[in-house]
Amino acid sequence: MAAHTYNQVGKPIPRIDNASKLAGQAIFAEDLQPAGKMLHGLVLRSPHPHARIRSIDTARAEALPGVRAIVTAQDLPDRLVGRYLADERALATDTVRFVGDRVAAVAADTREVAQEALGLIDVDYEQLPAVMDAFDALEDIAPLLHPRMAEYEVVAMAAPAGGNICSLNELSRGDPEKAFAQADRVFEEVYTTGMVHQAYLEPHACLGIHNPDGSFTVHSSTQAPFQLRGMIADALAVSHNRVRLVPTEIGGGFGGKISMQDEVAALALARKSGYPVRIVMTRREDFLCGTPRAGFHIAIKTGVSNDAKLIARTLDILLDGGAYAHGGVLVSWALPNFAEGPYNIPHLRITARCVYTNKPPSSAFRAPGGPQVNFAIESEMERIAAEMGWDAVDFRRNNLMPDGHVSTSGATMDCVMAPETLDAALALSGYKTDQTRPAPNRGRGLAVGNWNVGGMASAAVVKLNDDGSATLLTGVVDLTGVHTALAQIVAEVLDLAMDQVTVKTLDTESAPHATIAAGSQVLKSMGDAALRATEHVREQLFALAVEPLDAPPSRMELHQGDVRVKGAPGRSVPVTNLLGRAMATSGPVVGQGATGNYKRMPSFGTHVADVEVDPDTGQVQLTGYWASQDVGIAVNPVAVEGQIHGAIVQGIGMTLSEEMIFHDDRLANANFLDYKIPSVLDVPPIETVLVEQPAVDGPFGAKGIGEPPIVPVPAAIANAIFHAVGVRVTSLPITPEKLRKAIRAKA
Amino acid sequence: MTYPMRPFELHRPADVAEAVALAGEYPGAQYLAGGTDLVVNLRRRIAEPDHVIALGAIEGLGEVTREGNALAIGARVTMAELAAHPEVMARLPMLAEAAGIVAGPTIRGMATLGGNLVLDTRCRYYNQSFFWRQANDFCLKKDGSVCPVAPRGSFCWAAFSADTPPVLLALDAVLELTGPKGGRKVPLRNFYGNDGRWSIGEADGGLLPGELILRVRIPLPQAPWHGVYEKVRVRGSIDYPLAGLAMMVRWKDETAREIAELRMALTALNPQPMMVPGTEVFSGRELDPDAVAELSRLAGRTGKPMRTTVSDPAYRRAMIATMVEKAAARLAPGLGPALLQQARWA
Ligand SMILES: Cc1cc2nc3c(=O)[nH]c(=O)nc-3n(C[C@H](O)[C@H](O)[C@H](O)COP(=O)(O)OP(=O)(O)OC[C@H]3O[C@@H](n4cnc5c(N)ncnc54)[C@H](O)[C@@H]3O)c2cc1C
Ligand code: SF4
Repeated sequence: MAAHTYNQVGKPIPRIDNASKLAGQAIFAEDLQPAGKMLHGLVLRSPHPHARIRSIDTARAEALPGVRAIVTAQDLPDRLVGRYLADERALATDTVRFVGDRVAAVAADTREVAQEALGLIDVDYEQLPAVMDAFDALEDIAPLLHPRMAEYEVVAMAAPAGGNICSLNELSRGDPEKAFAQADRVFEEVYTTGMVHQAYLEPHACLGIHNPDGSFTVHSSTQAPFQLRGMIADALAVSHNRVRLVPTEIGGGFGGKISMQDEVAALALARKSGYPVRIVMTRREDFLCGTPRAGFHIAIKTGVSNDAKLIARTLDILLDGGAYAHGGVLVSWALPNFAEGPYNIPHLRITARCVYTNKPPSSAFRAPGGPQVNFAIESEMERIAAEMGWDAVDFRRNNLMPDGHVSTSGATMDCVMAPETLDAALALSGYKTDQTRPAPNRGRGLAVGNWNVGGMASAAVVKLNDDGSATLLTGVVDLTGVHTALAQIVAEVLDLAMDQVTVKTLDTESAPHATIAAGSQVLKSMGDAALRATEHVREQLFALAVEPLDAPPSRMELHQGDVRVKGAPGRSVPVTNLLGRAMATSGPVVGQGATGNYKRMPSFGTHVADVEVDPDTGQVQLTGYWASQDVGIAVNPVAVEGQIHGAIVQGIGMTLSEEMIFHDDRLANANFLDYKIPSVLDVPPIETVLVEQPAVDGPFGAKGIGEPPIVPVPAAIANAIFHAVGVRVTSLPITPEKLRKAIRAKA
Repeated sequence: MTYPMRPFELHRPADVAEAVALAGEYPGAQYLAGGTDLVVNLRRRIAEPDHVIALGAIEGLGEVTREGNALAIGARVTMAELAAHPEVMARLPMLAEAAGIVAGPTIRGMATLGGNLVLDTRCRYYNQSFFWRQANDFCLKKDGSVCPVAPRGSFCWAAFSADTPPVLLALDAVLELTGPKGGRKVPLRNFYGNDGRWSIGEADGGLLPGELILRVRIPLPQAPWHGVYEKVRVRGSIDYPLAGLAMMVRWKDETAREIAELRMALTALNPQPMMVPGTEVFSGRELDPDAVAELSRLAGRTGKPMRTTVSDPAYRRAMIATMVEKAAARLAPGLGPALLQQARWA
């Protein structure tokens, strides 16, 4: 473990936003109330999974008193937009492709009037056959969801491959087929996972304003202000500076608040009515129209040699991408980079296909693709070890990737901490490799997870106030408590107290470009930018101090409001004094810093779960949980532990109870009674250990932590169930029904 | 997409007489107790009353009182209160047990016994938003003409899914009701109807129009019942039962597991909570694995799960025998290991 010698970094500092949130003062999008009149907007959504719109008649709705504007695709430029593949419209023109697809929108004096008006819009639909299953979508006879896919503009990453395949991505090394032929044993299995929703507390909400100069302002609960601004501007066919996106406080996102939702509809209504328009989704709408984690179908084939080495593996992965190519395409693109798992396999091929179905468009969700693939990989490791008579931990250890491993995509992996997290989890949980079952129907399982964090560019500005306190200006939103960590970084460099640093989130017209608050990258991306901006401030202060201190900057340090000469405590000058000099000479002290796109960093974690299974009902009770996680340096250990706990709880949900269930082509469980996230009573005691080894880059050696801890959860629990009752359910969620069936089938 | 609740007028009567008078004045009005079911249903527009009569201001419905050798429980006693009431825990632990695993802790603090007794029947085609039901052409129970669960029939299979009624059935409780047309006392066993549309009120059973539940009277016999409540659900923390079973036994000779009388009742499997008929023949018999197997078969003939839940009806059906076994193992000393010995899946 690294020894910290910092004042703020590494301290368990409470979140700086706690007070405003606890007092109910934080302003969320639903709370926004512009001065003057505001209208309530609602969106008319398709009730059909797949249909042609023959006509839309808004006359009856327009006649309703209190209705101020109704918009359809006719009120918008004829534009297809998309982050990866330009395949969707802000409002449907002639085709709707999932239950919830936006058809029209209404703005009215009250929400009730708007609700009534929705019922008065007459849409003539011609229903089309729907494709509700990713496999069906591949059939020759499957209806094509996007017959003009070939004409769509590829914006980034997407590799459309005809039919309903909106992206096909493959990476390989060696010659897997030949290696399978030479392997001592070959194992094959298929794993599937359900479509799961991020289930954030705050449903999507936005407020659209059409400004007198014709530009637009939109407030939105989003993780991705700059990306979203770009998409909105594209949909409205205006230049990006004509849309000012103001990110609001965000009540959770987990990847589900990156895509565009009702923003363009709100702006079109605002333009047409002349008033600001607020659209707040209900929980039900958010379930229907959110952008969930894709369901996966994973065919995995593994060749091993008798000396417990992984020789070859192929993974053929089918992603249920839903109606439009949102983050599903990103996941498909990224999969080959992390789906090799934490192991070093000489012959490997990873194929990912993202297909269109008539379901909500799937997108990012905390380590997109990670837990699904790890479920397959780590279940197989355990199964293969059991069948070969090997110790499963030794088998893993034998094959873990070494530091400096070159990934399938050709990137060199630095700071590989796989063995260290394995050891830490074994020690923390008291896991015994030779243990026998502690009691009937009780079991313990383990899984090693890998994930690649980071990647995107950011810039930040730090300004010094006239008393020497500092304000960080950033365009990134605080999803995880990361603003507290950013404040710690600024405070550390300038040797300030925490309450002398403010972190201010600005809109897209005021802040320099910022990364999205996703991908476990804010601390690295914005943290580096903030660090450099603060160092820039420090540089300027040291330059100002050269004259009064009569020393070169290299000999200076900041100490509690003074710049002083190192080793000569008597020789110091107050920062306020320097700021006075600055005003008279060079001007106010403002620092700027930036970081470009950077290489993703691998991150590892090993989790151990204890379960008790009721073999009669198939119910699984988690009785204990231990997690070790590779974090580089924890800038704020409480925040890091909070992320680990949260990720584990979400992982438990997708493992045991959560799934979006489609019956009769419709989502049957668009509410929190039937969509079953774990409640606090379902969560076992969780113990964590942070494996700290400074990362080669990243501010103060920090690594991203938001996503990686969800990766090993499903496999750890599935392995524990296997250990308890000797059966393996290969499809998530492992519901009581499925588990009971598997137990009976074995008996 | 959201549709408005249908507007209604809210009344807050000060006493029972006023409440009942209001119900008489406004046919179709609904009482509101804890609101944990009604409010959800209002928002989904599966309940659309023009008048809602809130019972919150009425005194005297929230007590548990001893009346001779019976316990009278007020309709507004909450599940949390019932689960922690000393006398209920001492004399009727199976009732405390059932109340204590209704929903989750926050809901138990609001949910009342009256509301639990006449909880609206549930179905995956019915407990949906207006948007969803409309898109799916509605169903027989509300606004539609076909039952997608059993399309050829004209019957509604929506499942009665409250936890305390099977226990109260087994205990032979009596309801004290009052209404615009006067009061009545009804044994709970004669209360419910058959069809999921009407099993708790109107046409074939349940409450008469405007009727209010005042109290539930439970006889306290000299020789106490040993009873347990078994419940199967997805999340142990909050969910409705997928299947529920109350089992009560009085021993002739406890150590020999010799039965004097045994009763069973089921919930969440039919449109009404149901006593399992035919358990009289077990008096004098030993509660051994064979008896348990026979009881399972009996219960299996009563419980008729249909495709009303997202969970597979076959699973709920299988859970009937599982619950009988678990309940018997908890009640009969030393029976658990004997049951385990039996090759159940042979
Ligand atoms: C998430 C969730 C989980 C749940 N889980 C369970 C569960 O596991 N088990 C379970 O049994 N229930 C469950 N419920 C349902 C409900 O909470 C309980 O059944 C509760 O006891 C209902 O009581 P209430 O006072 O809230 O009824 P209300 O919602 O106020 O009323 C329900 C119905 O009863 C009528 N009513 C109420 N009081 C009277 C009276 N005195 N006389 C005549 N009619 C009356 C009302 O008019 C209405 O029709 C759950 C509900 C939710 C939201
Ligand atoms: S059983 Fe049939 S009629 Fe009854 S609620 Fe369900 S779908 Fe409707």
